[in-house]
Amino acid sequence: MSGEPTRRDRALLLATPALATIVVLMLLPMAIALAASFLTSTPYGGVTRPFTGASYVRFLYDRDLDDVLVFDTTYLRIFARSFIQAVLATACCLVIGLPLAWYMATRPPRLRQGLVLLVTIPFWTNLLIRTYCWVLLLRDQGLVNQVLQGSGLTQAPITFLYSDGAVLLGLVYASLPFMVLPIYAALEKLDPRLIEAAYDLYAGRWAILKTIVWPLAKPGAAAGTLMVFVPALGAFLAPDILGGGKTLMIGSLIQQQFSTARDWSFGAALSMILMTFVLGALMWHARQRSGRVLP
Amino acid sequence: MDEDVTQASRDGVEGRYDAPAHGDTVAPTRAGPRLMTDLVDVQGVTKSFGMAATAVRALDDVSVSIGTNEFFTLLGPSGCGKTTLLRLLAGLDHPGTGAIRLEGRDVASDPPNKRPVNIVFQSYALFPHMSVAQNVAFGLERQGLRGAMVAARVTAMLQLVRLEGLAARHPGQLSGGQQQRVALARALAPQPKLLLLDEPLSALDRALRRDMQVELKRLQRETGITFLLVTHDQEEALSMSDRIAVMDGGKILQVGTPGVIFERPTSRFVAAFMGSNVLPGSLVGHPASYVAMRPERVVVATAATADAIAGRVTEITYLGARTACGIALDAGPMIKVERADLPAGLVAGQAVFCRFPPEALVGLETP
Amino acid sequence: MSANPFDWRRMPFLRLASIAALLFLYAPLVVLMVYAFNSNKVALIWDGFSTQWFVKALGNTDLQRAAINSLIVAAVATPISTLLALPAALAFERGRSLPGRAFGEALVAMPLIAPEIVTAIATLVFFEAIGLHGGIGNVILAHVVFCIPFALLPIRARLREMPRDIEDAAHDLYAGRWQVFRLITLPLLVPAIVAGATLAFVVSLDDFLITLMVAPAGATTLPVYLYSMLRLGVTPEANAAATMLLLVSIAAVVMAYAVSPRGTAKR
Repeated sequence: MSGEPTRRDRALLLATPALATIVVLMLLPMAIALAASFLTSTPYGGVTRPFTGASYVRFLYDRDLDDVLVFDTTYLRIFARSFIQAVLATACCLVIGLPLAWYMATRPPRLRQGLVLLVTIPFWTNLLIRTYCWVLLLRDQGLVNQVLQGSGLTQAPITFLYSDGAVLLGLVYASLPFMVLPIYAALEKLDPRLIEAAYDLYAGRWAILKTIVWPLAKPGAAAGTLMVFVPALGAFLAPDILGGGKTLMIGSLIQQQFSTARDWSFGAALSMILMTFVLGALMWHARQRSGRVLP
Repeated sequence: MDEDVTQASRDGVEGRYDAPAHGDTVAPTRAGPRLMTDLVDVQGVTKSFGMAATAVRALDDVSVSIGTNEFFTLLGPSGCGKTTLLRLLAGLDHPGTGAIRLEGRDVASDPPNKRPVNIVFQSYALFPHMSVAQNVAFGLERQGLRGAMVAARVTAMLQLVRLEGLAARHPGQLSGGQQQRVALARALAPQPKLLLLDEPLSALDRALRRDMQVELKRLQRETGITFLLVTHDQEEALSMSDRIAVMDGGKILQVGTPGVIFERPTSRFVAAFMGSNVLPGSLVGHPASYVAMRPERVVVATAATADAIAGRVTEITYLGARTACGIALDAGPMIKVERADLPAGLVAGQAVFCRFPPEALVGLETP
Repeated sequence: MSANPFDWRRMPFLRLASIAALLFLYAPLVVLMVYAFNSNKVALIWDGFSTQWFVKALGNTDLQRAAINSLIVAAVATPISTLLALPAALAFERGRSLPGRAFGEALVAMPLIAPEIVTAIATLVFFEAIGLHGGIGNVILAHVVFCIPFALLPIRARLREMPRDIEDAAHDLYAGRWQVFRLITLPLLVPAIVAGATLAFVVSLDDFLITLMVAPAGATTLPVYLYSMLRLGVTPEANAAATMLLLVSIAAVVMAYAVSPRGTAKR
């Protein structure tokens, strides 16, 4: 309505190449994966007709020797484990990330920038390598066991690797910057005079954290929760490298369908179920955002 | 330099007592019909922002004419639409309806680079990656000028704004006042027909602001370019303008010389915005239900006289040259008085008697 | 200052917790590097500083080929994604009335939000469905998509903090749209474009999962090759190779951070 008549078109023209690329190479593949989940797998990878819901049925039921469907919790348990691991990882990141973000936000500007860079670097470095580092630390001949044995605390090496705990550690390690940075970004905007005003108005340390810091940190924490939870839910590397493939999670289960198991349709179906969880998390986050008072 | 020093000091002396006199002397020379010399003619311009349902009408059927060589000011509180009108004149926004004519030609659809109109932004908007000289040369080069022509003009412009030595500096190395001068030189260099100034002095401190007011007047006089100033500062508008348009709520409420705007407001908004007392009441031969009265014109006495109205002093504020006094009239309304000759020894709570000279009362038409 | 008992900034527990968290983030990386520089084959016995494992890794022809593939993919995907991101950033930040803006924002955020494994298998199924067998080209296409949002980030941030008035002023001073872009917007965006391209490069170089799924034999990149190396067991050579990749990423990010306006590289 307002503005030059060509302004809309120009903006659209500028945005089109990038958006079209994402539509063709991301949105369309998702749609095709959705279609593939309703098709039948061929033995050597790939999918073919007929259309069927069999892959989704397989998620919940198994066929026994008499070819009768029986309720089977194998995959449900893998999803449940992934969910619990992702929730625990998010909680751990919150517990570690909140104080760190608050500490960073209250430093003088120069130090603050250095700290931001320190937290940012792991975010941009190779996740495979970062996960692998923990193998060096945790394996039976690893640094931790060497130190424990060397100091005489233990006699035999403790097996840390290939356990749920190791996977959780890997998830927390991978995701921590995702939690710290959004909370920091939210807290950075905090005007220190607000805290001084609160102090002046007889608020104690705890009251300040509760009434001033937390409400400001909350949107950041919500964004961080989303950014930790979603990748953790679909994680592949931590369960694969630190879990040794013993304790499967959704990510490694899906990957299996495309490598060793060669069941593309089932893999696509699992991906779509995972995407539903992700969309749920997104909607939760959107609700958090719309409910908040501060801009 | 000398000339400006004297002018500045003269302004300082004048400011004490003579706002009405200043208005009276300018009024006759500028109030006549201006049709023949109109540079800008805005006709029935309406501009809304936002979607139809929630649209905000920033300008509501605005019409105004600005003469050649005039120093014209749009005065109003923030959000009154004055900056919107300025951006429409520059071509940075497109009017929804209405015509904008420059020397008789409708330019409403011309982009900003096709209009002989330049703007000095409130933020100065200097190009941070260019030197002062490059900034000033920018408009000239875009107009196709090259080489010695540009260099000569840049030198002349920097001389005009008294920044001769700083041509090679970058904007980040300049003070706020210097940046302001660069922005002025840059906008004046292409010799526009109309120079738009968007609250150009608001970022400067008080002393610098006064200097720049004088400076702007000088630039306008020396270049002969029409200046359109946007400001929310009444004092600034009064001291600099040939004519003022007071805006509120997207409408122009009154156009007139500073003297008229200050002394003879036509509406309650303009009267109150310019600092007059606005009282309910009527005048003989005038359909007004409200009247305006300058605080400098109220006569206060401690003894009753025949035509005086009784009241009580609520507060006294010493302003230096004058003393401000709040008075609650026994009839109800509160009024302000600002005079150098208030009765000695007034204290809060004291009963006083106010007299309103009939020639100082102005009937107000609209709400 | 530090003696002031009322200084709310002084929280000793907080300092300890933060140092512990930073140690947690960096200790494993340091351990890796120490191992890589240890001359002893048995990693834990320190036998003096040595670069022999780096020499050995660099001499590994498979690793060389994987590294070259990585560089090809990143070197091609980076300019493409940056060139796509630049106009998109202008549209998002300067096009006031971009139709379907919310949809566009959601699209651009998609590669960041969708779990990598889902993106990976969707791309694989897609390439299979359209019968695209372009070798390393497939990998490049997949990388372009997820590089776009990263290249976009600093450019958008810069545009957002760059006052519009500056572009308006140029337009007002008789510069046409293209001149405004060429003389004002582009020069002012250069640091952000460099930062965006660097981030895209790093993200491409570091990608593992998507490449693992879509890369055909012969188009293996460095992280995928490292993965196969690590599966075979912990070797000093693998440590050295991992260290090199790590250092390249860190150097690139520090550079992106240095050229970009404050804070834009923080996500």
